[in-house]
Amino acid sequence: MENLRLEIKTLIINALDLEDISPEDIDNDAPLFEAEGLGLDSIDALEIGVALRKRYKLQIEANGGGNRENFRSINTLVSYVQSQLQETK
Amino acid sequence: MTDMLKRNIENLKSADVDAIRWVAPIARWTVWQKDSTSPSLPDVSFVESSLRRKLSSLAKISLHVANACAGDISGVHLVYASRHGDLSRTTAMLVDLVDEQQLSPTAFSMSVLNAFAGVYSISKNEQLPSTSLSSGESSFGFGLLEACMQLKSNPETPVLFVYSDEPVPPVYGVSNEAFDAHAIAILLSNEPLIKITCEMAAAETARDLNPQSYSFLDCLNGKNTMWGGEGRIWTWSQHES
Repeated sequence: MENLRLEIKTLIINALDLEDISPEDIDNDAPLFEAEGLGLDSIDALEIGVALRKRYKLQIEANGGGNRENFRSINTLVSYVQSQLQETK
Repeated sequence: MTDMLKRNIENLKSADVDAIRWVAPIARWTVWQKDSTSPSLPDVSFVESSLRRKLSSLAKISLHVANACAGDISGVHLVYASRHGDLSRTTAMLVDLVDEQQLSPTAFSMSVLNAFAGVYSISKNEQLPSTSLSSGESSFGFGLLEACMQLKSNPETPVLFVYSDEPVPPVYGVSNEAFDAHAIAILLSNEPLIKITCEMAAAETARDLNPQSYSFLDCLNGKNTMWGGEGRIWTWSQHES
């Protein structure tokens, strides 16, 4: 779990060129797409989607109903990725 | 079609137009050129960091000169031109396609020719009419012509003309173009500091090896210059306002 968290944080930092941010700077529970979190935008969301698909071979539907909740924070992303990986096992 | 429109089109077709001449009234300009003394990329801190990290080098040099040249003037019309556009970015995406990789949404959205105008408008928090064009090796000249015509149509509204270009990625094997990354912003207004007379004439001509923009830069620096290519000769001469 802790490993996956660090892995996903690093993946986001690399995918979005977040030069000034290190994994420790990202709060596990802060909303990624709001100003009090990382303040990311919709293109960033797509970029993270592409990176997750590449890294974990996930099937993420562009208009999937759960996307908003799954992409809310690091913790929600981690449990989403975990559940998807379980399914494919 | 009205009779008058028909007549006008006929007149245009039959007109033996082999040269046009116009005046560029220039209030000020800013140039950025890559050289060994300048930092690798210029300052674009006026763009907020969340947007800044998405910018390519071409976007950064374009935004830098545009912002520096505009100063605190607002409400301009924006004209952007580039010979090659963001070819490094487009090439990287083509490579991804060949490798059957998904394209980066950021790269895709920022690779279009008018991405610069969009980012500039967002960063200045201004809604600006903008035109983006590319016209082969004469992209600088036709961009400037478009900008001058926009000023002519709306003399009260200054026009910010921005041109930028980067060398073609090596994969294309282009060997007859020799230039470094550069960006030029020119503010055209009806209160000019200098005026440059531009003339474009049809002519059989050998292509100049220097890019057209360099020839215009020499004119900004006080020389009368000439550039030939694509069946036309462009001449630029500066005179006091």
